[in-house]
Amino acid sequence: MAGSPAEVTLTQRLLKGGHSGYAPWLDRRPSRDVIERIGLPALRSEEWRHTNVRRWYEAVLANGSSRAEEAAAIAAPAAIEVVDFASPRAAELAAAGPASVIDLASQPLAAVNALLLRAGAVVRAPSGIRSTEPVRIGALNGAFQHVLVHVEAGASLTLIEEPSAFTHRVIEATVAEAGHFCHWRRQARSAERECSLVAVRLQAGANYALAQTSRGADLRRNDIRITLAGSGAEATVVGAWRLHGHDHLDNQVAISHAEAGGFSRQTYRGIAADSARAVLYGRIHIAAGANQTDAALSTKNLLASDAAQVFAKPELEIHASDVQCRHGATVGTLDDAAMHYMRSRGIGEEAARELLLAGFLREAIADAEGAELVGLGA
Amino acid sequence: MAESAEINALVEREYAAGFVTDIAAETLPPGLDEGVVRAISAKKGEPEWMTEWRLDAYRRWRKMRPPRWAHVRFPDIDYQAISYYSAPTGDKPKSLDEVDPELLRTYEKLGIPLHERAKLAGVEGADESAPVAVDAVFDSVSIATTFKEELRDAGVVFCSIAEAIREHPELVRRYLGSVVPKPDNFYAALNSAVFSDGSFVYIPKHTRCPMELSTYFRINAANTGQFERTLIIADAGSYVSYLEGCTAPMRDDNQLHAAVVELVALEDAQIKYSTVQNWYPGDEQGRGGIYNFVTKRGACLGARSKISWTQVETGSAITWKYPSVVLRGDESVGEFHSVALTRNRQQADTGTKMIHIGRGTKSTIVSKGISAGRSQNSYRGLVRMNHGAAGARNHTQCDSLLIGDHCGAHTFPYIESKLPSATIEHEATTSKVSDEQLFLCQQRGIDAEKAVAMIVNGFCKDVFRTLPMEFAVEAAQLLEVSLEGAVG
Repeated sequence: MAGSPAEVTLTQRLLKGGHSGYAPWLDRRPSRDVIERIGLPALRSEEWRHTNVRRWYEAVLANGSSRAEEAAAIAAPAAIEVVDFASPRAAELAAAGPASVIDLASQPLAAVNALLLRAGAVVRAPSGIRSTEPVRIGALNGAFQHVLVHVEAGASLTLIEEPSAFTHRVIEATVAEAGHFCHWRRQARSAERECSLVAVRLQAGANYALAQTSRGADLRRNDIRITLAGSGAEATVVGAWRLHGHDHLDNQVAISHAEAGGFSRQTYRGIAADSARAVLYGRIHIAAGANQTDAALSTKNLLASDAAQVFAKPELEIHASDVQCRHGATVGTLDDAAMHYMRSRGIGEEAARELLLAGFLREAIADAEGAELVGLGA
Repeated sequence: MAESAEINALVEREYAAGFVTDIAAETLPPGLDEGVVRAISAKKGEPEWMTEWRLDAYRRWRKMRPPRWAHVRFPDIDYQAISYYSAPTGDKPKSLDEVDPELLRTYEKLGIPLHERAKLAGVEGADESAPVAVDAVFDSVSIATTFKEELRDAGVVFCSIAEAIREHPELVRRYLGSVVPKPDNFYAALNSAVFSDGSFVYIPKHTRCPMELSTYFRINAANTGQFERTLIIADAGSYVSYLEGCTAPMRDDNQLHAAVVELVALEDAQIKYSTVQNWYPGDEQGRGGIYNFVTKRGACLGARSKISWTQVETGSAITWKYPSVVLRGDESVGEFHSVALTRNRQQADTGTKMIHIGRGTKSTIVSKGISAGRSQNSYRGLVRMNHGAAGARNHTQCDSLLIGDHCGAHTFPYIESKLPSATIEHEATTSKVSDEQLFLCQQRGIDAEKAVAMIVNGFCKDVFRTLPMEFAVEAAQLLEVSLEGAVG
């Protein structure tokens, strides 16, 4: 068996042992198959070019299943059904809902998640229910977590992920026709090594909006996969991050337009200081026949020290002709003229810098309420 | 699009340079081993150090695997089925009458002007008043190089690489492989082992090359590969503009072209390298065509030096090509201007790399991709700001135009920055030929074909502007011809 010691040990453990025993109704065979067939990501693979996946394997082996048990913190309004994976009702809901939206072959870490899973919940917004009160998800029991979200036709759901620690978290969502799913993620600074996957599939006329702010972690990797599977679906992703010290943040976002008339917008603003390292790969894929698609991505990055690093790769892969697509990426530092303007009006250097940096991040998340919610201040 | 049927009908023009010249040639049997590498070296009359250099490259190549990351699909190439050397036979002719008439007709058909053509066919004493000096490479060998004397008077060396190895070994030894090392990639290693000819240019200090230099590559023989090697050295304060053109016959088999081009610009020197690439692209079904797997790289070694790549890519079944600049000298400048047009079942994965190492270095990338038919056209680029590149700047503009429902246009830019004072700006757009623009043109009596040609020409004008004038006209015409029938 090839790979690093941590990779080999982890693969052997996953293949030899069964799963954690939690939520026995989950079909884990595909996960085992993927690990057997494809194996785990290797250090030098293109997808893991900027994040040392071995360091995450070490974290899995060290504390994978032994994280201190915490009380699950999920708060939900009455109109929204939330059940733990351990309950039989979760099995019913999962069976009645749409098929899984996760492509395990391209997300082998989700296979690891399935085998080591210790915490999970199904969140269902029933057809036609338009809830204004959010569902809040804080800390969950266990290092491996899975939240399954079903937004039924015409329903509306707001989900707030509050800062909590995990080794791997999956948020898997399907949004049926004309459904709305509004998703806030707030990732606090952490000394842990964390990976997460957000996989969302949108049916015709459905809408998904994700706003994510991240502080760095010892290792933090967010995979976000959004498929616009119905015509006229819309997806908006905004992200802001501010990293210090040796923080590492790797965001891998892919939006796939499978049907005609889709609309997607991605806006990212990031600041890396000290020796921090920020990565954004943002991919827009437009399938053959997905005409009248309008897709755009903008990422702007500030480097605040000589040792900080930024890697960006905004990708377009287009197989349809009648589309409007664009992306823009910049890397630089604060504008001297803007600093001078502030200073000339009596604002101290540090305060001026802070104002400019905060303003820069707010370009991503414009509305005050949202900015407050994801920790960017009013 | 509304006019798709009309526009579709426009593109079916045949590849004009697709004929085969029936000429006596000496060709090595297919296959590659150390014996073949030694045989090529021996045919070229190379010194021992060059033979060893090639053998080292061959041994490294054997341990390498072809790259698979590009957005192109093709069956594995059998490297033992290719012949690595083919050259027209016979002594060098003294007059036009002695030149093989087939070779003459070849140049006539390719439209090389008469006064040049006499020279290209290897005739001594022909009219040499043309402003462009040409090195013509036919299969594996350089047929002739024109204007050598005028250039020699200016101190410029312009000859085949085989001649340079004999006549200027000190320059070749110093710079060959210095920009593209032997094990740089699979195809560069293969080229290093088996390259048979190509052009060599040396511009001495503070010299402006008195005329445009040009190389014309022609693949003729079947089942052969062409592996040319070009090395251009611009010494301090010099300037040179270099043009490259290429064609090949229409065949149902794919043929491999794996070239290496190395440019070296010393202090205050400037190199302008322009390519109009028109290798046979294969037919509508994707049969035949050239696999164009080329490594082109320039090193701005000296302060304030400048290397500028301009490419117009309309040919080849598959293009895998990333003309790059390593900006080592402080305040050096790199430019990349590209138009890549793919149609039928052509596949192109092309772009550039700008590696900023020196302080205050600047780079500009302008890439225009046009996809038609069932083709796949990808831009792949890297802009990297290394730790020392204080105050460096890059601007990238990368636009794709889609013509038809079955093609693909892709953009894969890698942006890497390791210091705050460097600035990178990247923009990319993809859209189709707009119905409004077409309608406006047609409303004014311009037919669909001309309208599309105008729109595409306007789309590419930023790049055409950077080509030498004769080439700009040729490039625009080539694009027009290539688009005929591809539109829709």
